[in-house]
Amino acid sequence: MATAILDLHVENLPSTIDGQHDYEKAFVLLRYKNKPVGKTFLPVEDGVINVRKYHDKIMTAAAPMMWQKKAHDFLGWDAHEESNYKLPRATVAITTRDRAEDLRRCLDALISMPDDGQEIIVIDNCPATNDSFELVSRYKNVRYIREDFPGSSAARNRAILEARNEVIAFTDDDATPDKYWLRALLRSFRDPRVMCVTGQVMPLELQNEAQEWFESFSPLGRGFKRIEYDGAAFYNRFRVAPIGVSANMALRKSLIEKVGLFDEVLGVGTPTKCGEDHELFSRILGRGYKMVYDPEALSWHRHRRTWTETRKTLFGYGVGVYSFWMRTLLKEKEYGAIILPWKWFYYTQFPNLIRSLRKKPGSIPLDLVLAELRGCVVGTRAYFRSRVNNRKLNKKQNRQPHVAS
Amino acid sequence: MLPVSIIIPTHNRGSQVEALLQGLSQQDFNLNDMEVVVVADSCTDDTAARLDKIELPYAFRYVSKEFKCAAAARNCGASMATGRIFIFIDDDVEPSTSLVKAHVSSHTDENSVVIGYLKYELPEKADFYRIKLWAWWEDKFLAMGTPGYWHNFEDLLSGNFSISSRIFTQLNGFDATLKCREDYEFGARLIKAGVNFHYNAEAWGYHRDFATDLKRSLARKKNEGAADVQFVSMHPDYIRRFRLSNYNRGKLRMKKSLFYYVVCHMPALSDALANMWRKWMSVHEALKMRKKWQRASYRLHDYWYLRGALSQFGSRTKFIDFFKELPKVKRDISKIEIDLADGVDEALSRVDNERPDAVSIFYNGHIVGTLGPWNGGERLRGSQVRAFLATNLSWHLVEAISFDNLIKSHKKSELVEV
Repeated sequence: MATAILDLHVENLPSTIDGQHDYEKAFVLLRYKNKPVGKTFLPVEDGVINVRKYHDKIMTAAAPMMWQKKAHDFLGWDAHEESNYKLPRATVAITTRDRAEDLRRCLDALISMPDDGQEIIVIDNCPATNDSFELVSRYKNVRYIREDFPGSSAARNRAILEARNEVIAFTDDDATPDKYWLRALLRSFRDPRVMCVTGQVMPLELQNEAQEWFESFSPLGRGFKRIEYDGAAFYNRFRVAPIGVSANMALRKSLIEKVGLFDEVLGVGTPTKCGEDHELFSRILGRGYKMVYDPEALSWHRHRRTWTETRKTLFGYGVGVYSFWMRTLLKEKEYGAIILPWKWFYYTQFPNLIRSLRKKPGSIPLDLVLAELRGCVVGTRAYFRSRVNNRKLNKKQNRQPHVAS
Repeated sequence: MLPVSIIIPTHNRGSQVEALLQGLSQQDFNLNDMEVVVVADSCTDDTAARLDKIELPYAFRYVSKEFKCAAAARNCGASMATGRIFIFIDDDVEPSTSLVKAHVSSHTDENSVVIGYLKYELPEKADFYRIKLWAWWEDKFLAMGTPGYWHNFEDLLSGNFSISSRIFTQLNGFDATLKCREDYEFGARLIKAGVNFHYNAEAWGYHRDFATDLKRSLARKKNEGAADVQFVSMHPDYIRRFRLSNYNRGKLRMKKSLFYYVVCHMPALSDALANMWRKWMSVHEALKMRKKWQRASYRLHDYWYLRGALSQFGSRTKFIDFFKELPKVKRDISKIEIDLADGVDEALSRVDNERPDAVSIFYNGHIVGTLGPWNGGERLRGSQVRAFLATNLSWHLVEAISFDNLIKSHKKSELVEV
């Protein structure tokens, strides 16, 4: 059975919520004064969620982040307002490919955000139909750009190059950003050493087992605490998975000359499947810049729907990670990358495999573990194949490749 | 009396100082209200020739001297200047157009010193040392711009700061006997005199420092070690703020250890080993062995600092005796107690009025925390206490309020039962 998604305000909790007959439990996002502070699961009993009964459970989930905000309220302190920082102007970029329905939902959410002078652009990547173009033309103030080089990297690079403002905020077409998502992302750019800010991603729906599993084992959210990752402090540049996801992030336009663009050899639409975002995060850290994870920049994301798609995602993850490591080893001369496959296997994949074979409770399903391992096996070769493909395609389209330094 | 005098000490940076002077003619400020004084200190390049030929739209003077000391050059420039506010700018700065105006606007009272922002641009192919240096600079300025920042004597960065001429002459400017750390030492005297520190990010310029690298940094560390010995003698109450105090620990076994013997009496040997280690660091860097590089950097900076300090004494015994003979200065600390239950704004405005060295914060009689005293920090203001409460004491504050509520509700229930 499905899980309901609820968004509750802690200071204004209803005593019960009715009409939840289609669901057996509810995933609840808790907010305090509009800022996300925690999440929890509540059971549905006879179609009703008895919020008052589980008040303690809710408060336990919300408390760690909430008490600090309460103290700030008591003192009349708001870190952002005090600093008098004028938020930079942003370009919101959506990369899409033949998903007009999702795109419509995303654009509707963006239009309803407060107007801080941001521009919205849609990069349509190798579309098969004209649906996205027609959809975008119905919105005024949204710019449509068509990118015919395949791959999410090329699409994102095009967005960065076409952006007219100094910060580019990316959202996936299957995501619905919160009302104050953009402002929350832009706040962290006060520090000139910050090159990229990532936000929190919450599931838009949890209708089936695949989505539920995805959310519990590999949540796209990274907690409710703001964290800074400093490349100059030599934070391990390969430990980029905890930082965030590219479905919800913002970059500076000066990235182009300071760090370089996404590597078009990696990513969705290439043989390497994914990894372009991790590779860019790693390069940002390697150059000494900072990355920030800000949970208040919230975006609701539709996870992969079916089990097959989830398996494909994990396979792609294995391929992408190995490709990212290979690329970093060769181009950035990070020889330490050689030891990473062994470490990953010994500390994470192998224990997961054993746990799953022994059918321990809470273990990752076996077919998903094997899918990831299969991805790893082909990962390195996929990288080289992608490089060859990339060269051929660039030649065919007579295009200057965007060189990621 | 002109409103502004800009004083620029320079040494062998002819083209950069010329660019700086041209940049100052683009200021968003009435050029008739400012004058620029350049002190060319021991210049062997074409600086004098360039300054002779240059044509500028504001009052400009320069002198050539043989001080070989930045502090003396700045003092000389100040003695020639006639402005009400002195702005000191280093010769490797590229000013923005708002620099002078922002400095002037921050001088709301005569008792102020204003620090400006020096942006450091990271080149694309930067080595580890440059990344670390850039991070250090930018983090320092970011911290200064954060609300409620607590200024201290190490904020006096002499590359871009302004001060009222009255205070500068009253305190006799920089100490020219110090070969380095003269800026921090001046900052120490400013703090002790109760001068207000301000930071204005609008008073910004680019810091075009291409020369500093690891080798120079280590050489500078040696000079800093030597200068700190002198600095500590002048301000013995700040001893804990110096790296030097690390060597004032009884357990250090300085007299018994071979390492200290070699550094003191056979420095050529330890220097040679240190230089070899520094060269070995480039291997760490090529192989991207960051942790090893970092460790080497810390240890080498420590070594050269010690070397500089020990060079001021002939023997280890004299070094140890130096600490013993330092006068134990006991400062009078003013401490106040504030209670947030009286109202947060009321409590903090008390801090603003009294400007104590330390504050104990309570909530309805329950202790929340203490801020200060901090040797070398300016006296406290309400904004600093508020920032400290929000960032460091939030949990304790919530604890105190909850505990207080708990007691109140407990008392209430007791009354009901009775």
